[in-house]
Amino acid sequence: MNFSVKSIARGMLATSLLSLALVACGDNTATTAPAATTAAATTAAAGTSAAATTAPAATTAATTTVASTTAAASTTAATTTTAATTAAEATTAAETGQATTKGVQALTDLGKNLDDTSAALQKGDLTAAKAAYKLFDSGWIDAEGYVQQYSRKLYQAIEDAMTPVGRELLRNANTTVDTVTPLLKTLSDTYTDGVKKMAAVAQSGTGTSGAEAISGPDVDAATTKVDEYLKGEADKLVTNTQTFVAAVKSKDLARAKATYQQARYNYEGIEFLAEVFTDLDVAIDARPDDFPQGENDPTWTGFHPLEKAIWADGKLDANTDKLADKLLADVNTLHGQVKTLTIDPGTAIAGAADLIEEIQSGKITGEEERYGHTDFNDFKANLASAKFVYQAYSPFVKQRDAALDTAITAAFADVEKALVPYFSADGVAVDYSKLSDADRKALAQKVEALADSFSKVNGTLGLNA
Amino acid sequence: MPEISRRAALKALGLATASAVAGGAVATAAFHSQEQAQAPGASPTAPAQATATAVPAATATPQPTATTAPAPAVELFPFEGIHQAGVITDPPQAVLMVALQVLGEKPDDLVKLMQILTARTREMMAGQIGVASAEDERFPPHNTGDLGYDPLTEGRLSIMLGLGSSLFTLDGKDRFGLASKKPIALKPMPRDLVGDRLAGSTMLDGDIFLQISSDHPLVNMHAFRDILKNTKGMVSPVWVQPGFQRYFQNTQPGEAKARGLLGFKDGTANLDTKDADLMAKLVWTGSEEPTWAQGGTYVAVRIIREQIERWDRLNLSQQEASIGRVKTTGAVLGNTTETALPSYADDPDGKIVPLNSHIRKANPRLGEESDKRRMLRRGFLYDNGIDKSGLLDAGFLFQGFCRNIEEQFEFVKRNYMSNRHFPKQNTGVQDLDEYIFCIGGGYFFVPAGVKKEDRFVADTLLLG
Ligand code: HEM
Repeated sequence: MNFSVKSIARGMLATSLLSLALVACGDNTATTAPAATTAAATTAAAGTSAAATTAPAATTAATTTVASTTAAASTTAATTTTAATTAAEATTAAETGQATTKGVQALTDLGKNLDDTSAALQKGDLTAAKAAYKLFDSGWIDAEGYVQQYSRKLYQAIEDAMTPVGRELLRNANTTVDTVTPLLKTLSDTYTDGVKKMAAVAQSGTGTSGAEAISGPDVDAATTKVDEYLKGEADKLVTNTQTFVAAVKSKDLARAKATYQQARYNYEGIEFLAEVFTDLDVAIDARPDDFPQGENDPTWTGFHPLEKAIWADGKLDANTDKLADKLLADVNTLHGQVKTLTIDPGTAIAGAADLIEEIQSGKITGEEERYGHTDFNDFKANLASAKFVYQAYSPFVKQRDAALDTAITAAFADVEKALVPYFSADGVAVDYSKLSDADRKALAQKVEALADSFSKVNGTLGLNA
Repeated sequence: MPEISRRAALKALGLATASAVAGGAVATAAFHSQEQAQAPGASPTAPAQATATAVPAATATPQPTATTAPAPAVELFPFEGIHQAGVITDPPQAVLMVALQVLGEKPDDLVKLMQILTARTREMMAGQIGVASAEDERFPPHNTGDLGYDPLTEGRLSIMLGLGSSLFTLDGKDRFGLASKKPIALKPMPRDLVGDRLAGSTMLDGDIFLQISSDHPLVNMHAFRDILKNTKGMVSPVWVQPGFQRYFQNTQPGEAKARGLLGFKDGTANLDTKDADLMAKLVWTGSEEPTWAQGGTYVAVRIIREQIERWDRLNLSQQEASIGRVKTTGAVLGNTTETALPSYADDPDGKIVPLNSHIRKANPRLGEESDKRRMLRRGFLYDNGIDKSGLLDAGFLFQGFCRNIEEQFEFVKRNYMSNRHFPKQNTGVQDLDEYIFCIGGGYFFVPAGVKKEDRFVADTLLLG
């Protein structure tokens, strides 16, 4: 027999295959192999159990270190953690910043005993308070593993807050409601707040939550500025759509072409807000690919069938009148809806990120403005809005990560500069389809750099998308 | 690579599942006898075409052969079987998808073509690629030599053949007199599936589809090259797409064995190919089809481009919300274990698993109504370099095997995934569609397996 096929196909592994094959056939010449083979076989076959064997020790160690408040608690904890959580969780009893909905649920249920304790105290019923707190205290042992896994700091804070409550309520026969109440409040607040944070993490799945969210009057002021800007763009969208629609209905092709760009510009600038209202976004901005019958689909409405009529068909008629009326009606509805939105920093940043992605994604196959080829106009709008949003929050990014702020600012400038050659002196976009492959690529790579650094903004500011 | 050593290690322990016959010819014989043991028409069970499990653990004992050299373990899939290999056989690491146009015009041309395709497939799957000594130096060699001259004993090559609807009718024409025998749900892949970008696609449909898969791209290419060489003038290749996949070792039953380019485990909630009843219900065609088409299956092939750079810039929480599973563990959001089932009834508003997440759109778990729409997925990844913008031109080669392609794949795509108002008014299409789009593929019917040496793929269609 011949191993050449194997060595071609599997390169370096041929050697190990050879020795293993010999062992398998009980060939004496292979006596040197067994040790290695056995080792390999054991590791390979027992990959999981090897991990499992090391786990208990690790678990115990971790648990003991953390749960050192009372000797009794630490021993019990070691067993409970393993029992109450899955093997995967147990092996990582060290802090992971992870939280599961299961854990959050258990902690929430347990927390009800604290509410009961507090209610009993309010009624001045120390006996009932004691009974309720006992339930919390004994249940904690089963649930604390979830907190340890999430954050040792939180775990320690809860333990620290529990100590005086236990001392007063469970072990001091002469305690009073007034003594226990503030102690319990500290515990309750620490506990509830911690579980809330865990719940947020559990919702998101794998992640941990890092930085605190930015907040304060400066942040609010920035958000107001963004809000006003975007809603101002929405106002302009209405005006410019009116102008465009009038041009379409007057059957003036040249004027329709000229006014199309401005209305599109306003739409592209607030696209991420429009996307909140999926139906309107589809009615106004859908591409034919989104419809079962494509370009011939009677339900395809909005800017793009008009774009097709103007550039590809070169024909304005009764049908385009209807489309134009519907477009204006939809834009008006959208305007009303957008005005009702409250914009928060997380949404604004995520929206700006979306606008940057828009520059890229529509272009991967074909163009968004596939008939009019006014894509550069859209790019410019996407970019301007994204930049406005970024500049509003840039001081906060700078505070936390000055290098990131510098990178993003430079990347914006880079993309802007790259776009300059594609506009005429009076601001009309060059036909996108005329872009050479090399230029298209150069532009795309600049946008990539911007998008890449921008994707870190929300995390840096501690915001959820 | 570690996978190989594990396999080898298992062999050393006498646990190998591969048979240990000396050469390709013997292997074929062994598979024959195994096949004949199967009662014809018996319900499809895994052993009929499972991995090369035929002869158990012969490696553990020395072979009574003349030489002391050990016999290689054979890692080949049997060609003969109730079903074609390549559907429920364990997917190997590399694939080459090929669509062919049939050039012949007479029914006889088609018969001859199928006979050649069958013969080449049969031989190559048995590891027979030809020996140097059999070549006549006055002729171009039969064996192209790229895999050497020893019979293949490994690589798990299979060549699965599917038929496109254009073979039955093309532009309203009954090309080979087969129109009346067309499988009930076979048609060209619809051009109106929402989100697809098929305009100008050069990777669509085909009269014949080949899913050539093995553990090495060179083996696949060799097979393709051999087939083209042996069918000159009979077929013209329409499109070709290579792909790959990487499998984990040490996975537990029910856990996914692979991850996709988006980084998520793929296969967790796939159908269990060892569950013969489930395969019979959801994958293999039955009495609803013309007799010749029973015991086959349909496949929806979808070449799906992924916007990788864009995906990589999404927050982890956005990625997980888009799929509906935790990235590291593969568990459904809100769960810790991969195999735990979601309970959408307790989460009617999608607070935990978003209503527009991929897994919830692809299988809303509504009981029988959606259970019957499930399909067997057998995907590979592809990497076509970069596009015009310098972005990764890569994605997913989706294959969905269905007993009825309209009732399963197409229904799910149209009525769940792309339906903006499913499961609720204004849910939107699945969020994942923001990052992926289909650029090609096709619908094909995969006839039942070849059951005897004197028969060929789709013979009952062409001769019966
Ligand atoms: C680029 C394209 C795709 C990607 C990246 C993708 C990825 C995934 C992932 C990560 C899962 C979860 C793990 C699992 O159960 O396997 C999944 C599940 C699933 N996918 Fe896809 N998929 C894609 C395309 C499709 C298509 C085209 C279909 C068919 C219509 C489909 C149908 C399903 C189904 C039915 C499930 C199982 C859902 C369940 O039962 O919970 N996928 N996919």
